Amino acid sequence: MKEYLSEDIIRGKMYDRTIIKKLMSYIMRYRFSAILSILMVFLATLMFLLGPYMFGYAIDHGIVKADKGMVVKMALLLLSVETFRTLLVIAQNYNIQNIGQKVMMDLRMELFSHIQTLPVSFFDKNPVGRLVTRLTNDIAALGELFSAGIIVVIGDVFIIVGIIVTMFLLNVKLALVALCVLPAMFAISIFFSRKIKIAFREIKRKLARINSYLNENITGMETIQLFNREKKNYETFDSVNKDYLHEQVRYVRYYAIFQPALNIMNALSVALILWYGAIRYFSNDLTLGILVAFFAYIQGIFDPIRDIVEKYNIFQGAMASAERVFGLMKESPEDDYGKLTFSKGKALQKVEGKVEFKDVWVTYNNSDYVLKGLSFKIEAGQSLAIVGATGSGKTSVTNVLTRLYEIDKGAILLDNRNIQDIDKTQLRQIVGMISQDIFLFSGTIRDNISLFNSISDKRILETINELGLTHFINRMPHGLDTKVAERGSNLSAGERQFISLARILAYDPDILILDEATSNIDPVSEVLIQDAIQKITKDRSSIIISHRLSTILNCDHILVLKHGEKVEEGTHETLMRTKGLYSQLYKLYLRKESV
Amino acid sequence: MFFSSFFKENLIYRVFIKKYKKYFILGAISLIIVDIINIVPPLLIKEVIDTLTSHGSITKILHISGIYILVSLVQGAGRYFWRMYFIGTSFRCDYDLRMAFFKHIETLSHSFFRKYKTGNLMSRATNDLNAVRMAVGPGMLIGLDALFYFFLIPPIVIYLSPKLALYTFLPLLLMPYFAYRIKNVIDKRFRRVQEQFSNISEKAQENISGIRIVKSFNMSNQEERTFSRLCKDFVNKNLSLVIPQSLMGPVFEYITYLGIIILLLAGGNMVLEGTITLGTLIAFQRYISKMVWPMTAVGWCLSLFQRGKASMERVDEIMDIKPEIISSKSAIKNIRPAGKVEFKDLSFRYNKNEDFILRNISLEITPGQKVALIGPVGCGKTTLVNLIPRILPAEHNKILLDDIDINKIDVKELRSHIGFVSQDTFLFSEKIKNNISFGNPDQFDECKVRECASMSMISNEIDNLPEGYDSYLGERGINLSGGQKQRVSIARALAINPRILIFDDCLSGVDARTEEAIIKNISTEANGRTLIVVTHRIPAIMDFDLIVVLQNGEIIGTGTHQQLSERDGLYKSLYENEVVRESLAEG
Repeated sequence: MKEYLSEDIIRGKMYDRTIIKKLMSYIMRYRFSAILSILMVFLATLMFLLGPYMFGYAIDHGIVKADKGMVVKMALLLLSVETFRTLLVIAQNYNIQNIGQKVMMDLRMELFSHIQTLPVSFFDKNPVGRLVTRLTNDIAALGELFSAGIIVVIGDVFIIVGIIVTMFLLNVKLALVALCVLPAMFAISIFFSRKIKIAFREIKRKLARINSYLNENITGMETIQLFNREKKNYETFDSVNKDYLHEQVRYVRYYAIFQPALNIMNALSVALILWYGAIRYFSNDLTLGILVAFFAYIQGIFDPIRDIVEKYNIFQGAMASAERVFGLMKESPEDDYGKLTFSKGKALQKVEGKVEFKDVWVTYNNSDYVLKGLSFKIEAGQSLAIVGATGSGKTSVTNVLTRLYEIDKGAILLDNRNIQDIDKTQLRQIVGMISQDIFLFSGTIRDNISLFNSISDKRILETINELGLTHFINRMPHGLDTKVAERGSNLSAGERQFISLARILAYDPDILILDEATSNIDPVSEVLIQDAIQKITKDRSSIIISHRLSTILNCDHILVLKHGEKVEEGTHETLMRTKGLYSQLYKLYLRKESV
Repeated sequence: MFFSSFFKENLIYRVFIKKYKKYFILGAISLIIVDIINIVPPLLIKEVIDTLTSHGSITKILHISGIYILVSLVQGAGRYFWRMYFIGTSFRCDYDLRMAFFKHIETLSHSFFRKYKTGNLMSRATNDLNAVRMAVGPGMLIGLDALFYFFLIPPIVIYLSPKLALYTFLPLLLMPYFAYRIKNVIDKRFRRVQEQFSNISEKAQENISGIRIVKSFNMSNQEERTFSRLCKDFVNKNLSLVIPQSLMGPVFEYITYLGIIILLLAGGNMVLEGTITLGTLIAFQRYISKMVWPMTAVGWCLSLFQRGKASMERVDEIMDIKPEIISSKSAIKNIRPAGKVEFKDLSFRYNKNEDFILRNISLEITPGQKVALIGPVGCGKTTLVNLIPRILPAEHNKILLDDIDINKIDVKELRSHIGFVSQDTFLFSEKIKNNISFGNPDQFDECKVRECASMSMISNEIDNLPEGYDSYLGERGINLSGGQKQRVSIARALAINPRILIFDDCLSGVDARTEEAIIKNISTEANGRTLIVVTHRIPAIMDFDLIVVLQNGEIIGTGTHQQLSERDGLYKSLYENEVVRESLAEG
């Protein structure tokens, strides 16, 4: 869903050197095509300028001099020039779009890759919708800058300059007279482009306000109705909406004045050409053909000027998007990510699976500590169950072991080596995690088990078989090829668990973290899942967070957490004997499972 | 095709002409004036050329130049007016539609919002309304303009020279054909581009929401591969769209030039033969260029209408939904309830083909009573309390307030006596104080706000904010924690001075001590208010007058804490669970 954030409104700095420089670096990757494009535009402009001249020439040397052959010759010449120009323009359009698309793709991929490297804490602070907008709409706005913006404006400038030059070449005096309105035209254009720019920005801002107000009101409609706020909110919406309407009408008015003003200037210029052209004609200083060509030229100068003013808004939007995209690219990636740290320490060759937490302190966003000096040890191949109330810090243990979050104090050792010295990608290959909410990707069941790695079907089926879940795959309409709907909505809670268990076994980590969901699962699946978990944890060091007694009882060791601190540790028997928190919890779980 | 769709298109009549007939007429008049005058400049140029070739007087040319400027001034004024009347008014229509849409959804209730999600409604209120505006504003304008051109220019060129008109305007007829063919290709490919764009967007959404998994399983390479495949595909689809798109403009220009070349050949010959003057030839050149616009406009205008119509249907789909809760005129307006709430054999289900959520609920709550609803997740507690302020519709005579059927009471009146705090608190991005006095915006009372905040145990935290009660909430303001939001929403419910207060499990984010304090505050300050609380935390409501235990939509027990905990059963086990749980969490 699109999010309506007023933060996304245009800030509207038109020209920012660093952004332009950055953008240029992307175009420079395609400098050959870009230069070709400009050459093509230049050539097309020349041909465009030839048209009226040739038509005038045909009048002067063909019609006026009654030379039929000349008329035909010029007509054919005109035809070939126009044909060539049309082909050139089409090729040039394609070429520039091609560059634009490639730049867009580069930007999008680069941003996407960059987002992959950002720390999890970044995603806690930034809503998904905002990041998606960066990847989609903002980049699209930049693409538009290339495809519909820069080159078109360059072409427009070529035409304006070309027409002026041609007019002077044909007849200096008439050119001077005809173009004496040009300064006024430019003045009008600059004046209105400023007004239009401001109005456009206001429109964007006000539209964003409308949308965010609307969005909020739709989401909170029940509250509005409960508190009888319908009328009041209608009034507020009315004033927000009216604001927008007035801004739009103002914008329309600018155009309603700007366009006719340009038209009138143009007419003035034509009238001047008519009058002064006649004088020159009568004094035999000017041919009819050139006079006619002048009409065409002065007409042709008008469109590019208007076009440039209209392009202004695209530029402005693109600049704001560029600022946001490059701002996101500047976010720093998580520590030690993707640099294979052979420099820092040798990659672990063989992992035994010993884990040790040494006085670990953790805080998220510098608020209270969620883990306070936690220490514990897991011997290779052993399993540890962590129990505790919600918010006791269970999930934090798993988060810091995979370095999704960093610890503040203390150390975590893996086979006696500090995990800070292990490259993150390798660490995450060693430590595999099944998290509470099972995330399924859109794709097939195969994709969700293999996680898009190339694993043979045979391997996948073996894995499933190993877990005793073949039955589940056989039940699926298309076996491994069964499509998983968005977020797995076509699968039951049990089936999702199956997938996540098969996934972890296929991933084959040395150390396993299992953060089990408390969802309601039918008894048959429940038994299957328990069984599968047993198989997965066998001979693997594992940390298990579970609400199921049977799972906890199967663990070698139990750790009881409370407010981020260890309160009890031991085997089931020893803990039951101490009659502490664990024994109380045990009763609670026991009762819950009997209900 | 064009005419029928224009006239049958009642969209334009409905949205624009009906309401703004005057503007429509004025706009149409200015447009027609502009278009008529549009014929004149080529004729003036013809006059000048003919005067020059026949060595006429310079004064005549001066006059013509003067007329040329005059004509363009009138035209300029006309252009100003049609733009304001057509395009300006189209924004008024847009405003009208948006307000009507807003007003309408304000009357719709729970079942509607269950069916239509926010994103869906937003897209109708933004994209669809814009498409409608584009149809009634620019669409209508372009259509009319093209229409006038078709009526005005051909007669004048035929008048000037029928033969030349036939030769030169013939190739122009290629244009609509070509436009039509190419438009279809563009539309088809454009849709493919759009689809691919949303695929990219979905993938990005998926990747970012699943970033933890992506990181834990070192999936970024695979993800980049997938994303890059999507992007490449997007590039290809875009480039396949570029081909027809970049043909459009140049080909039209080319066809125009074909007309001009024919003009040069045929017209040149005719000038030499003396059938037409050179001036006529030049005038023709101008008219040919002018005909390009209406030829291309037809296709454009039709597609704007098509999209507008489809969008209007989507908007109408919402506008045609009848509100579930309508207050008839005979509804009771002024009640002064004591606060007695009675359920009489109430059953409820969302749909005829769904299971009952509540079954045969009978319960009487006397004024001033403190009642707690207890039961496992999904037992129907929330549904039950939602029926009281008519968030959900109850059948007649099943729920009574002070012995009056709540369906007979004006819904606004009913709600003004109920302070309802729902499970998922929703606060608005306004100042905190405005959020608290949300239910009485017209009589803002700072003291009252502070009093309610302090009863809800949130006043200290608000005072500690840099801007206190003036702090803005939401995206651009401060972010409150879940528990803080819940307490603000309790203050908001207190601020309307309700006779009945309903808390629907709205203290989950508040620690047990604060919860107890809030409930105590409200009980002591209650001055005879009825209090209905849905909760999991039994210790907080142990001293309530009545505790109702629900399971699977039925009442399975009522009584005081004392009475219920003496019996073995759901209540007792829930209570014991809760005690253990709290001792674990609190210690």
